[in-house]
Amino acid sequence: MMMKELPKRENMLEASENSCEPRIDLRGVLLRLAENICGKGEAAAECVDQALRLHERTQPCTQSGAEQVELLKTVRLFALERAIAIAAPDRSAEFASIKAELELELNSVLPKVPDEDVLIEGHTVAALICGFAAELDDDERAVFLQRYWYFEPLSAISEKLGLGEGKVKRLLAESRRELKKYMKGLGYCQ
Amino acid sequence: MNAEKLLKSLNELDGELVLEAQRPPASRPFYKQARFYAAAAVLLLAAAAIIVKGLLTGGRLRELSADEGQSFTARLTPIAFSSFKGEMRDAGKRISEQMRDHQSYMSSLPTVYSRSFDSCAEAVEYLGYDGLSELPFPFYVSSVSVSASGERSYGFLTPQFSGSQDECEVYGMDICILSQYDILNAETGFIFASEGVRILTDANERHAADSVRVYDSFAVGRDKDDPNSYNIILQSDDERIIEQTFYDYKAQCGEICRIAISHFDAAEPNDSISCYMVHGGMLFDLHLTYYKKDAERALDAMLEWVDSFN
Repeated sequence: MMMKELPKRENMLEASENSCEPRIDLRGVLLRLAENICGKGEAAAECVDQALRLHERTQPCTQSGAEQVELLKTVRLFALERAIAIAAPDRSAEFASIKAELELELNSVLPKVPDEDVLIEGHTVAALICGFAAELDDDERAVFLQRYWYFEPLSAISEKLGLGEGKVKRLLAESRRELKKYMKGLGYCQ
Repeated sequence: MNAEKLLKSLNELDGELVLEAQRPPASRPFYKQARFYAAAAVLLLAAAAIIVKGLLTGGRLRELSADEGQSFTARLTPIAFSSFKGEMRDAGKRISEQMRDHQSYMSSLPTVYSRSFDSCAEAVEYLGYDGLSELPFPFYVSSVSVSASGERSYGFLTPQFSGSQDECEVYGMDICILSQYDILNAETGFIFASEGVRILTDANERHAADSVRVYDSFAVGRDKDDPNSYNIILQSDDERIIEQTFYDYKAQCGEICRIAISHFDAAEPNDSISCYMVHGGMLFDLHLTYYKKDAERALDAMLEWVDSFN
């Protein structure tokens, strides 16, 4: 029996690209995320390329939400690792700002929280933090994730969500206070 | 753990939430949009409105028409900054220091200076204003904060005195209340306040309701025809409110206060009441958010607060 020749990967990607409806600029989204974290420049582009290579995509067009999420998470992780590793002045202003505002609010609880791979009552710290984010109301979660997941500037969040910048600040302050209360509730307090 | 690890931990977030945050608001699933709830809630709210109306018309409450209900005129007493004798007088200096030290990455406002106290009495002492006695609040107060806001050109603008408490027991309900009064500063003739308030009325549902927020706000503007009178306009930017009803209530001290009841769509477990009263020349306001089933008890709590003014 004659084996059918497998299509080349490039062809598969072209076919996939052609079938993308609606087409989104995922590379643009990935690049913006990386730039928000480690600043504009080669480092951000490298994070995106590295993630795409890892997921074996040369063209970041896909209909699969799960694939988009994997790419976003990978880029975010690569960018965060770079931003944490490099000297402070080379990070993006947004990363520095976000880090500072979290530390300002949570300085009394964060040092008491173990690393994310530690289990608390059967849950990792990461799972508990994500559980907190999931329980926020729609507006608050949208603002919280735009800021702390996508590292967006306040002005961009305001524009994207159609909320005043004051309200964005207020919602963020509320959610940080809630997060602090939540962590205290888990027993992390000084 | 530090903030960096916390941010990394968020990478484990559920994929659906990651994508949802990426979408613009208009493309969020329809079942999560307020207009869906508004449409679905009409009948239920109509029923709830009948119940609440029945509660309110029996006492000293007078329901107002939509035209007259949104704002009211009150005589506030402008108070000169020199009338404040307490430590609060240093607030302008503190604001100047904050503005000097403020960094662009800070999310806090350098124009606002806040102090927290364990009791109303301490807060009143900090303000040092003779016309102000302890906030007439019949419930246990766990913390009180005083905040002042200012601008460089004025040095100091508007003192605000906010009392808040968390999870106290009122009528068997678990309830969170924020009350506030604003003192009109003579130098500026204008105050504005906007507060986030959250009231929980059932301990068993506290966790679920923790995400509930109500944002009521009001604006005060000088009446153009009478410099001693001010128009207090009640407003809310909360898009989940689908109906507001307004009432006048005559408190035992003889003052008329304005009450606004906000009805949320049926998907929200809560409704809320806000009450505004001018007493001793100052504007006092109290906000309650309650489970719909607790409307009567929440109203009782509100009226007890109003009637505690002497």
